[in-house]
Amino acid sequence: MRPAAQLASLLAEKFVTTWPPDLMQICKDLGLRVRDVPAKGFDGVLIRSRNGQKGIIAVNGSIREYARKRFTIAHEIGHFIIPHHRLLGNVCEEGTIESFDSRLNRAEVEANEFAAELLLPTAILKTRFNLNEFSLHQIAAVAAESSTSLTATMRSFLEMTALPCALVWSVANQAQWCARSDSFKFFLPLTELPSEASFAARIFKGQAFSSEFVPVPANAWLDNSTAERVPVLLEHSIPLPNYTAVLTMLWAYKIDYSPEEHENDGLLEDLAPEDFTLRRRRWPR
Amino acid sequence: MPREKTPNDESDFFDKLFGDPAELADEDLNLLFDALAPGSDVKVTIHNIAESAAVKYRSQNRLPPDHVQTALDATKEAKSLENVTPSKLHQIVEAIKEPFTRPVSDPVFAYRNRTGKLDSDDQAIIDNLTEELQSDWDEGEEKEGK
Repeated sequence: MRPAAQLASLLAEKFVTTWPPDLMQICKDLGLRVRDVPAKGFDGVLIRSRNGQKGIIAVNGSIREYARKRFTIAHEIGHFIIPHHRLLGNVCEEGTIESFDSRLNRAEVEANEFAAELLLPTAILKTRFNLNEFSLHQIAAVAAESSTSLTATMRSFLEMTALPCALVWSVANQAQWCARSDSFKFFLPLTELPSEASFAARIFKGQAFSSEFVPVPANAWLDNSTAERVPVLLEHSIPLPNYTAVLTMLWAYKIDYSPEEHENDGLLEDLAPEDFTLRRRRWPR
Repeated sequence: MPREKTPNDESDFFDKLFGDPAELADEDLNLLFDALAPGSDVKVTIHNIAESAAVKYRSQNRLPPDHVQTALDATKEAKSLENVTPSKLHQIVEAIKEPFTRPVSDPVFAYRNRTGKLDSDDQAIIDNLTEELQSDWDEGEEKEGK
């Protein structure tokens, strides 16, 4: 578990008594007020005393999704709790504009990791997820139960599962970011995605799409050399019109070689076919 | 005629009241600090004092003395949580105090998904919230969030 997530877990031990966690109660216990504001230029803001335990979290009232509001509040609690984050804010009195230097970016990542663990505790997810099944149905059910977004819940699933799967977030037919499980060791060339052959691209074109996982040519998402190692890649893309976005779930369903299919594979010519069976006695290190 | 106050008077006074502060346990020291400077973080305060002392020494082309450097090192904030040990994470949570409700004058801001410069309406929102933060929350009931 990442340090920011560990910190969230420790905070929850001390302050959280319900699940989903009562963020308003946590804020009250910490000395934070929460306000809904009609802002246009930001999703949320933490205004805090640099040295004192006192602050206000303001959330943009135009955010429609309850889950996103909760994530924003949890994210700001992270900034409030993580000690060195108090040094990152800009002081309005000095008229400075917030800068996104690498240090600040790191802080944003830490606050996100903190929020994800506070809202989706690993210990509870272990009892909710079937980690051998990557399905929208399952993830949506946990998201609804925990009042979290599909995306945040899916990220938590990917951090826990041993399945080789990934998610890609695309906006206006351009992949923005991805998250992978540890076993999905394939490079995703984001700047070239989604490709024409993907279902995500079809959704952006307004064409029909599948409501479940369907096989897709592996090179629709992976570069050609990598795609050769993935005989079956499954894709399930979901349109999210509020964000003009598409959330794509990818599952490298079959990545093992079988000797019959790859008899002429030059990379493997020195290995006997029996090396791919259970009769094999020694395995390469 | 009353004698002039000497620099040692203050520490003598504390010695009489609390004994030698250097021998106080961390918890007692924190309690003492809370009583003397409510709402402020002892670590940050010590770091600020040590930092300003170090700046003075360096501006005279002198190295800060060992005790100043030690104070700086001991109170330096980590730049990320990456190498923070689990026991330190415990300490961070244990260090969370009762909320501070008295007036403050040191606001800082962290925005989420901010898009460019704030317009006048957004700035008015921030100004109002800043005023609310700086006010005394013990005076009257907390305003309910919308």
